[in-house]
Amino acid sequence: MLSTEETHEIDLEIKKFPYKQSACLEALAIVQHHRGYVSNEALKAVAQYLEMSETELDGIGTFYNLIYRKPVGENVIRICDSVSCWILGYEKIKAKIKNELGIDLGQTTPDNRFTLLPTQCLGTCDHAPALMIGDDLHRDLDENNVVQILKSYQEKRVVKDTIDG
Amino acid sequence: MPTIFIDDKPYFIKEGQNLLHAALSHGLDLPYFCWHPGLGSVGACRQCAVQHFKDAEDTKGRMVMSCMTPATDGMRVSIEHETCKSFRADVSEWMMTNHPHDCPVCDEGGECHLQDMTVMTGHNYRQFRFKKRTFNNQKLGPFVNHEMNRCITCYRCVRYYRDVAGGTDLNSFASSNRVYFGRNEDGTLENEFSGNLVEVCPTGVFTDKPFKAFFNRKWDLQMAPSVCQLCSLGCNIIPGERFESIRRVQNRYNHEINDYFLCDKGRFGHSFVNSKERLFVSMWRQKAKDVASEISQEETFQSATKLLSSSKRTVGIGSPRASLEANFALRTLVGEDNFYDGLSRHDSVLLSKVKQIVQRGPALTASLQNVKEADAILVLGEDLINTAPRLALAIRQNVIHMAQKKAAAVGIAAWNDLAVRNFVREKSDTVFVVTASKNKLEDVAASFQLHPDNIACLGYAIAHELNSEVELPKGMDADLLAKARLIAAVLREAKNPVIISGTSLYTEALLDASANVAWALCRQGSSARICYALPEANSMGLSLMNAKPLSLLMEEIVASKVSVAIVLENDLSRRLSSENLGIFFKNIPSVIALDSFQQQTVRQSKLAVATCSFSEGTGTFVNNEGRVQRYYSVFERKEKILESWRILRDWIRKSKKKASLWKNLDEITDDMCREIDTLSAFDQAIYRASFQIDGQKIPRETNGYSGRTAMVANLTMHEPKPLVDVDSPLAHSMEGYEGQPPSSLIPFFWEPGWNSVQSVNKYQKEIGGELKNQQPAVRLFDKQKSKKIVFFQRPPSLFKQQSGKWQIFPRYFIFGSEERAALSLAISEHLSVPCIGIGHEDAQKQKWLPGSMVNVEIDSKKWRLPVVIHPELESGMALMAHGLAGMDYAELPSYACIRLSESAT
Ligand code: SF4
Ligand code: SF4
Ligand code: FES
Ligand code: FES
Repeated sequence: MLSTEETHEIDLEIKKFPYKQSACLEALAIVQHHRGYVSNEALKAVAQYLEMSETELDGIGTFYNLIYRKPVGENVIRICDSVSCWILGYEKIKAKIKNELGIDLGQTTPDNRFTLLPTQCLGTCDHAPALMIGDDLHRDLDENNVVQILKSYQEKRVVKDTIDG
Repeated sequence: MPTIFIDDKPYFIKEGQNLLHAALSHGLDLPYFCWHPGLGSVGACRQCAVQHFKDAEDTKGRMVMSCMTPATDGMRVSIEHETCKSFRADVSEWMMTNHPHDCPVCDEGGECHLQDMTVMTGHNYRQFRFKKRTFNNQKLGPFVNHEMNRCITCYRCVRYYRDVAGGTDLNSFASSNRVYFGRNEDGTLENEFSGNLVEVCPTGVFTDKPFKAFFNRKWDLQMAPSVCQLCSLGCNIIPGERFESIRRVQNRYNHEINDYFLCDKGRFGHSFVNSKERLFVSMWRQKAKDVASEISQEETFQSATKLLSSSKRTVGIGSPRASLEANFALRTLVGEDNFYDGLSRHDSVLLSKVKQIVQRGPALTASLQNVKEADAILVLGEDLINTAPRLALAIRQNVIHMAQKKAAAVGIAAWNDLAVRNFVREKSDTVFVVTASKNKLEDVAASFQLHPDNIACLGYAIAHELNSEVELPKGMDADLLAKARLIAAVLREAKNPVIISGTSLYTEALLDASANVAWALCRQGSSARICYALPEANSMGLSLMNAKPLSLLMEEIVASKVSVAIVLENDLSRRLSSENLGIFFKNIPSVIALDSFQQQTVRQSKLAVATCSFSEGTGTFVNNEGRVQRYYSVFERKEKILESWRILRDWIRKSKKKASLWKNLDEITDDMCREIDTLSAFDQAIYRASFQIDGQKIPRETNGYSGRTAMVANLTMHEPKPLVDVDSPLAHSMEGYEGQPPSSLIPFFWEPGWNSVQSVNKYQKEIGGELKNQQPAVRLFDKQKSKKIVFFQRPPSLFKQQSGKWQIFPRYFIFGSEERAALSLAISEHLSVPCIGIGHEDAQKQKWLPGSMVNVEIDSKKWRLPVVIHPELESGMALMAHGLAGMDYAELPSYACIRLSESAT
């Protein structure tokens, strides 16, 4: 189930700890990096690989907001709803995105291009409001530039690693 | 003694306690959630806040969590201080923001720790007006119900299930306000101790599922102190009855045995008394082929006494699951010469060996408490999780206990659970579990698998290491010898080690070997104890009766001309091969079977006599350690069914013309203890029916018991007279003594303000320790030990595979091998299925896959069974499911041919 690339990367993490279970969070991140999210099958495979129970691994996986246990779109938009952004127009930005993409928080567009999620302070309050798409940070948002930003991702296909069975 | 001041009053404390533990031990009311005496502290709920002062002048103090604060000499704290008091009420209030207001429809209602604590904190009015978070519930199998919205996130469930019981399929998920406790997907909870979640969870998230289907409030149940009927450990239980059915079983705290936890067989198996297989009416069969017809109690008496009076020879066949009293009555009726034990050939031999070992000494028997507190443990052969489940859990508790000891060496308090767990992450290095197949203790103990004979050899080698008088088995390889040396070295260092074995592998050498190890240790001056898991709840009691082996009767059956055999609460199809069973029925014209439910012997007998079960009758068991315990009837049926001993007594009265024999339980107890020397201590210790406190009996019903007249309103408008219990100090009534009775007579735990199971706090001298009114246990083998040790000197030879044959050993299952538990509705949904277990190597060689159907041929008999692969099993041996319904009895261990069945599936 796990690809050789994945197990190779996981092995590197395992080396850093006295107990191999300690690498479990990294292992989930690795799997997610390759597959977009952690499916039940992937969870099972990682648990087996690390010799821990699925339930325990899932408990750790679900604790973290950035481990996705459900499929997400190619681009995950994480919009900051903490205080600075909120004061400086988070609501408007969110409404704009909702309007543009037709999805609410926690939803994915039917074409699987975008998933919209809230996030806490991105540490860039001086340029609020802000959001992240994938690994890219976008700041000083307003109702116009956010549309442009979304457009740029409409065109840019993010190439994900192939997902093997 | 260290002293602390709580609200300016001095209290003595025990070194090493936390403040919460100390305060509760003094009977103070201090609310808490996440702490549990069986789990220690993690400081998760913030409910136990108290104010801590610098000195006597300090009036402001600072708030601390009492469960996370060591109680130290001279410390000044306050429970009543306004700051912590209002904080505690706030904690309740914020828990309530998400907790639904569904007490009226919640199974926990009326015995809920959350209710009790909320009232105790004084938080009376909710102000939260927003949406509550809601969850989906999971289907967790036949035992435990799940209702997640009621969770207050105390983490007790996972801490119990994972950290104490060793379960791997329950956890907490997600974070902040969405924390969820459950499995990662729906499915039956796998752990054999899942039922304790019901008592551990302080709210209505985890509740008793079978109870839910026939629900009653705690205050509406009639309850009595009872003893588990389903294995030899004799855990203490509280069954609760309403409308003549046993609604549920709860744990009855006994710090020497089960403390806070039962196994799922014990908790959910006793509802066999409600099963449709119950025998309420006696049956008569004129000829073997006839359909049996129902007969009245009077007719039963007439037919039985007629059969007896014309009988040339009457034999009695006793039972390891019937009470001492019943076995004794039968023995009295037929005479010692005609009294047989009703055991399989192997069980007879093994049981008398066990009795010999524990009587002869010098090693004392171990209680579960001894196991929990041992500083080294060796298990030789027994698959405890299936044959003596609570003992397996006691071993887990021991591992925790030993970790606490290690942590104490660096100054970590035993109650500081997370710290202890972080400090000690390795498996135990003082617990060794050697079994034939995997034993479910691998995650905590040093464990490996061997053929039973080789396990016995290992035992001999360990004993030899400890004392060279013990013979060393021949031909042991270097690896095994090294293991023996290692284990011996650990045992040698221990002050109070426990050696555990049992009868379930039918290998006498295992009993010898374990005795040798324990005795060799005693010889060195350690107080080593020995612990045997026995086949049934009263196996040890039966062994005191001087019964002859049933196999002896079988040998002489043709010549002996027996006209009547009385089979007491025993299904001989579980003791004899089908061939022998045929011989038994063919040679004995009149078989009278007494039992409380339908089973094969009952179905085949001429006269089947309905007797009451443990729920409606009082009796006494002796557990595996020789502890004599009485279980008390919970209720009486309107159509009264008598205990076996009373039925037999009536027959004795008639046949021996003793019209006034044994008017009550006290009288038969006296006679029995007089005749059976070993039991004389029990006679002194027992509470007689005349025992009263303040001139009152002890009520089986709570003082909130409702519907006394309404329950029978369809029959009469008058309140029925309370039944008189002539056998015990307990009353079938809500009236009586309201204080705390002696420990063995506690029908339920309850205190004003403490309605949940945690009211047991109020009954304990120290929380987690012995009860306030603890009676000294009656343990039969504690005295009369000879100092002289004669070691067993017959080590078996190491196992050698026979080509083309397998040596078959029995495999027991927690859910299925006990015939009565298998009748309980909940357990019947969880039964193991017949199978034959084969090692990996053999399966590969034979090209058998899991599920391949094979014929197991022992002598000329065949069993057609699916293959289960046990990778760890030695090649040349196999494990055959034992005691499951629908499987013929097999005389094991035996050599068998195993062939792929032609009609393969
Ligand atoms: S389910 Fe029960 S035991 Fe578990 S955290 Fe919630 S309230 Fe506590
Ligand atoms: S361990 Fe044995 S005595 Fe205890 S509850 Fe389970 S079956 Fe009953
Ligand atoms: S509040 Fe949004 S970046 Fe800090
Ligand atoms: S009981 Fe002390 S914090 Fe929960």
